[in-house]
Amino acid sequence: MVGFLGPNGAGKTTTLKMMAGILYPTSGTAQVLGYTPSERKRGFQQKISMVMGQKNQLWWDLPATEAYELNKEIYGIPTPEFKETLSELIALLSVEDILQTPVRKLSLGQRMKCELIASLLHRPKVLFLDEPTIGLDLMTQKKVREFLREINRKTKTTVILTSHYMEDVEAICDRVIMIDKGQKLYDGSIKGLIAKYGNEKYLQIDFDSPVDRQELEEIGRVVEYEGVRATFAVSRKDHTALAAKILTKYKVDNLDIQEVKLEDIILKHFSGQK
Amino acid sequence: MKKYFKVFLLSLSTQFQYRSNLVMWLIVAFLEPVVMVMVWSSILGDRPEIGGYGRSDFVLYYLSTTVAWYFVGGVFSGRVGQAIKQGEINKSLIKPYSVVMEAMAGEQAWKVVSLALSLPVVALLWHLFGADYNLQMTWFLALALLVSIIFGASIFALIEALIGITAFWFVEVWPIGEVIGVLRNLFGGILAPLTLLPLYIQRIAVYLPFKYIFYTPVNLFMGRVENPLREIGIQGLYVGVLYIFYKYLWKQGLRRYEGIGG
Repeated sequence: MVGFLGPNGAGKTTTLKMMAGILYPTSGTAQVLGYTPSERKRGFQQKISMVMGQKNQLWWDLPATEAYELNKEIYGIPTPEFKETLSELIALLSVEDILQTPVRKLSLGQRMKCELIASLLHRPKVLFLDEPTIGLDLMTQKKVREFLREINRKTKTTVILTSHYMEDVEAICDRVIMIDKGQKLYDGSIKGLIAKYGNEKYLQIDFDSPVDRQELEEIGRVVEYEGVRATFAVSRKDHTALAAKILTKYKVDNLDIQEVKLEDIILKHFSGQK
Repeated sequence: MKKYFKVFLLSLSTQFQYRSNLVMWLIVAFLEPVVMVMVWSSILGDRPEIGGYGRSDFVLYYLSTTVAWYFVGGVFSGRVGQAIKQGEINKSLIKPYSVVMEAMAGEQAWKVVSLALSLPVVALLWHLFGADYNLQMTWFLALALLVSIIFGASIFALIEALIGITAFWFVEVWPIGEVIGVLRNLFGGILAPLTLLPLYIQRIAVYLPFKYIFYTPVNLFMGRVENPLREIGIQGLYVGVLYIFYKYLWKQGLRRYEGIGG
């Protein structure tokens, strides 16, 4: 599972569309599964799928099952295989009770689940996901992540996703590719990315009584401040010394040492303060 | 083709989601031929005919044009234009599936519903005003009519598809659709039989594809075509030329396409 990261306008969706065969590259070539996507060969289309945020392949006025039947015809899926895949996907996403409801009456989360099913009926080898969890509630986001992990584990489907939610990426991607302005900046594991760019740790401290921010700023870089609680960003090698210093100087209720979040790295990296 | 038949069936079920629309279509189906027949009846006055068209000729002409519209017509350029504009076309680029065919198949659904609704109306009108007409139908003519309807429908669909894919270049396709619609009604004999229009319009019509959409099959049906094979040949030629042009434009359009939408 590959996470495709970068700020708005970095070219994530454009790259995805190019790999899916929607866009012609203005220069150079793209290769996916040994095919040139822009040629849009049937063999290629049978092996890929794409879910694009709000663009849906479901029929607004009809139940989702009707769109599944249509996909069955589009991809020429044999009936037994279709039934088997469909019931598997339905069970994984627990959507049995909404399949007969017209799509227009479904919530955003329910629609996304139905979309995911539609995109996987022909058992694609590669699934492109553009912001699959955008606008979904936390429960559904979690469910979708679990589902994607399961699909990847069970069917070995390669999943390439872009997301604004770093939790998506941290929870499901083994590999991340970071791009900006069409240029690749990083390609590797999430751990590697944190090690490369996240040379800091966070110290979150709950004081017994409120402490003045200015006073704390003299000790280290404060990234969050709420009076009785403050979070410091410190370099990896200094964090224990700083923790000891704080513990001796103030009455501390709780001290928590945290790894830098992927989201913070991205934010920091793209705001130009590497 | 099975997939587009499925689209047709899906669109058909969609039609029944909005049943109140069906009543509207029934009224439209009824009004159009009745109004045209009334207009020509009053122009005819006491005269037995104008330009070879008597009262029952007019009745048959407008009734068959109405029915032919359901077989041959169906405006879907707007749907195609919308699909391109809003990026819905993306789904047809990643699947072995065409959004243009989807729009066309979808359009057939309401036509079938309207045809079914309008047939009793047409039959009633025919019974009231045109029953004395003597229709000469042979096997050859029936076959020629079938081919002519298929070609007419293909010309119509290809023109609609062409209008639709201009969305790759223009922001809105409806103005082009409107202009073509007016030309089609005038030069295609929908407004009035071509032979009743000024000579210069008839001359221009010969060089345009519109007359081969409805006018040719309707005239074949009424037994007014001298050389059916020649007319059908021209229809076939238009289908070929328009198809090649469509394929070329589609390819050029896709190269420009920016894959709008997330």
